[in-house]
Amino acid sequence: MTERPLAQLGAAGVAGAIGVFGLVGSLALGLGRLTAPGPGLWPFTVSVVITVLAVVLALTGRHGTDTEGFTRASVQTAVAVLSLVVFAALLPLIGFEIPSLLLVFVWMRFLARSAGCHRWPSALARWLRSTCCS
Amino acid sequence: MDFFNPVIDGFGVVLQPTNLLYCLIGVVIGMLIGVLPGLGPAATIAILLPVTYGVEPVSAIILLAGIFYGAQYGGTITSVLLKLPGEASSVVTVFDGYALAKQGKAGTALGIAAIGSFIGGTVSIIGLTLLAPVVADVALDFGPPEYAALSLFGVLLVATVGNGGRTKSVIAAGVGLLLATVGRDTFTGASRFTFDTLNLADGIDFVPIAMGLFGLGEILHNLEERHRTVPAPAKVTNVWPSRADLRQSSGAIGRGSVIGFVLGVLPGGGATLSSLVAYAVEKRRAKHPERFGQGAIEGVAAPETANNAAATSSFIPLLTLGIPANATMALMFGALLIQGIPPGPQLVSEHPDLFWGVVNSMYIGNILLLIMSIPMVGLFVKILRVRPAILAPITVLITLLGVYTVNNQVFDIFLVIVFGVLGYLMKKFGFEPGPLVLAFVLGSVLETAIRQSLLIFGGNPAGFFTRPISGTVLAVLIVVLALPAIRLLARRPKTASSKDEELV
Repeated sequence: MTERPLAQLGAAGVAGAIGVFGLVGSLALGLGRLTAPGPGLWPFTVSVVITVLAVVLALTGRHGTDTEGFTRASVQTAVAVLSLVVFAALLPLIGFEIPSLLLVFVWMRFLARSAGCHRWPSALARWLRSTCCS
Repeated sequence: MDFFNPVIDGFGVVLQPTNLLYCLIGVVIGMLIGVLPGLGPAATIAILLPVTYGVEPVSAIILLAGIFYGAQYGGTITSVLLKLPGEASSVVTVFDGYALAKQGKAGTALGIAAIGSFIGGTVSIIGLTLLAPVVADVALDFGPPEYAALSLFGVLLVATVGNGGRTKSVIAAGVGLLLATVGRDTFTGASRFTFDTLNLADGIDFVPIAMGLFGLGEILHNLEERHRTVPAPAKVTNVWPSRADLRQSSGAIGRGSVIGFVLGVLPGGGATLSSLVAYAVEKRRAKHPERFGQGAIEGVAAPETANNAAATSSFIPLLTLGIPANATMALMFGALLIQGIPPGPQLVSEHPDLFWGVVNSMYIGNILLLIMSIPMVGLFVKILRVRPAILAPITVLITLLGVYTVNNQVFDIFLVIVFGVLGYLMKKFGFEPGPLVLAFVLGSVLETAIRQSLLIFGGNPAGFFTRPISGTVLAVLIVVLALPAIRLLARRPKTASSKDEELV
């Protein structure tokens, strides 16, 4: 495990941004008083905690070793997410059958590459067979 | 005997053929995913949540509970044979289990683990049977301040005791609490953080969050980690442990049961922590602690017993107080809500068939697991040969189509993808998704309870401390939170003095 101070700072930054967003949003909702709590009082309290802890994380957590770096394999994860978005976008347009097959095909193909077992032509052949014969 | 009538009726519920079948399906699925490294019980339960919609409440919870404690059995198999813990709660089993397997005693290790798991589970069920109604009875008198204190206790303890950095876990819990506020405010009717979209007006559903963070997040994270090759497992022969082995591990099994039961009830305890503690206790008690790690049978018996006992006893806070003790129990909480049954102290009296049906199904499930695990070890090992390239697309498809079937909303699929990416990024940056999901579940309970209490107290927050039960809970919480700081302060002068001694 290695130290990634930038990643830790980034994590703290994102957490802080969420906290500040919560603060602004709940202030806009109105805090009310303790005797008559408004809709924003509870989110405000939570946001204060998040913001404070984000600052603490930024100050103290820089030497943590609990982050994982992004590697070339992370590109595959991005592709995987993209395929899921395409799936969700196609679903209401053309039903679930074709997008499902496409999704399974894409995942098997790009997973197979690194596992080194399936080759994509055979996956394609199998996919064609299953769509044509069924 | 009035007390035992509902218990016996509960057996009547479990022994209905459908429920028996669901129990069997549950423990088999649990055992399978326990064997497969990567997909844990939380992920599996999250993915299967939509499936439980069309099922009777009792059967649904029996199924999910079976997955949970079945996974504790399955995780052992890969720990012992392949040095790959299938579950976090089986990590310590690796040390001695794998050492035993290398000595050709894999069968003995698995046999002892199965017997220990069975005994631990059974002890815990008996404890649950006796203790839960009592706790529920007491809890019926709880008001909003007590619930506020207990929920806060649950959220913060899970965040601080869990693995991963404390600060990060509490931040994750905070984000969970914030997500729970999305939607219409129940007190004033104001819309909060909805960005004027109709899809968010009723708040975010629990199912997409759980499926995204636990299910899809884990799948995406595993995509990058599948490059290791699975070694050929050791041959399993002679699963029945000898009488000497049994005698040697009987003490460890007994202590493991108690440790697991106690730690399972506490918030943030659960199976993983109790297996670690049980192992440490055995090592400290042993006459020859150097045997541990070299293939001590107690090193397998104690943690395996403890994790099963804890898996069972962690149902107590959920079924009696409505406070989930860990992330998996948060999913059970969600599953009960989906069925229209709010978990809480009234569960025992209002839905005795569900309560006792689920509790008693654990007896049956444990017997099924014992029967299956010893002779069928070889079969389960074969499952490891299934390639992730086949498993991942199928699970991802089940997840996405599953969440769509809940409300027939494509928006929910997008939510799952968003939370899946969030879960993946959280893991990358060292945040645990568990506290977030738990806090999300408890968020509305907590907020409602706090606001009701403020109204009761006339706006004076000191009221939380003056009521005996909520005051005690909060005091314990403060002590637990302050403990690491105190320990740090106490240790500092000591390390300084030991350095001085060395110098002398």
